[in-house]
Amino acid sequence: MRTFDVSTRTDGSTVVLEVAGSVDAVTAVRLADELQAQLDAGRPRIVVDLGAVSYASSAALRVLLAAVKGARGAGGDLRLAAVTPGVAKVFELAGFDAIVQRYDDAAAAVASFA
Amino acid sequence: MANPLRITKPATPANLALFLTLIDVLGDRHDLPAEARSDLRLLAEEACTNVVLHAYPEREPGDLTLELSFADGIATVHLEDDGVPFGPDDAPPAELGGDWQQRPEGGVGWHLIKNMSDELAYERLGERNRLTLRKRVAAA
Repeated sequence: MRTFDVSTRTDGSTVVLEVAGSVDAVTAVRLADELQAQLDAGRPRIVVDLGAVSYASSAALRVLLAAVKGARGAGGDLRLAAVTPGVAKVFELAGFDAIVQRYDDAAAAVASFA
Repeated sequence: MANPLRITKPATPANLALFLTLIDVLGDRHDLPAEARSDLRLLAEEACTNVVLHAYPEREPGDLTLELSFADGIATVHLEDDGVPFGPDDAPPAELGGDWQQRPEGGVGWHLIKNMSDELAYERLGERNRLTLRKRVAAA
């Protein structure tokens, strides 16, 4: 059974999305909705913590890339934290690393905005 | 060899979860390691999503059959549909270069399938698409 959960917290002027489970064609819309809510609320400095994500497909890439564009267009950025090896493999195959910055953990990603 | 697992349902987004559940069943039945389950899930998801999005343009979605099997260390993901021809060579190449502004948000499904599978075969038989993907699975 695949699961998905996303929770949000703020750290200074940065918002951290902690995602858990699988980000796939079924669940990615929930991540998209949360990311869009942050952008709509004027919070374009976003860290997506993927430490508890065991699986991501091209649906995840699509949602994250759209949010990268939205965040940068609003003067911020979307940065990734704690990407697990299985998810990193998919990101690398898709050439995602060239356009999104990755950090070892959420604290480092948040600090990178300072 | 155990009987293959098979599901046939209309190729709709609402049914994607059902198709993907079959991967979990295969993994449990054969006690496949976590990495293999993720790899097979990716192959099945990307292939099923392609059918859902592209096989039945401007018409009521037809059926998609997903069949999974595992034998001799090789997992097989087999799909059949009667939609428009849509094989790996019909998709435009994935755009993986360039900067973030130019990067399209989609279009990497086939790229992932080609890179993650050990064997890929596509046939157009009459009015049907048949796609077979194979992946070697290391022991747990």
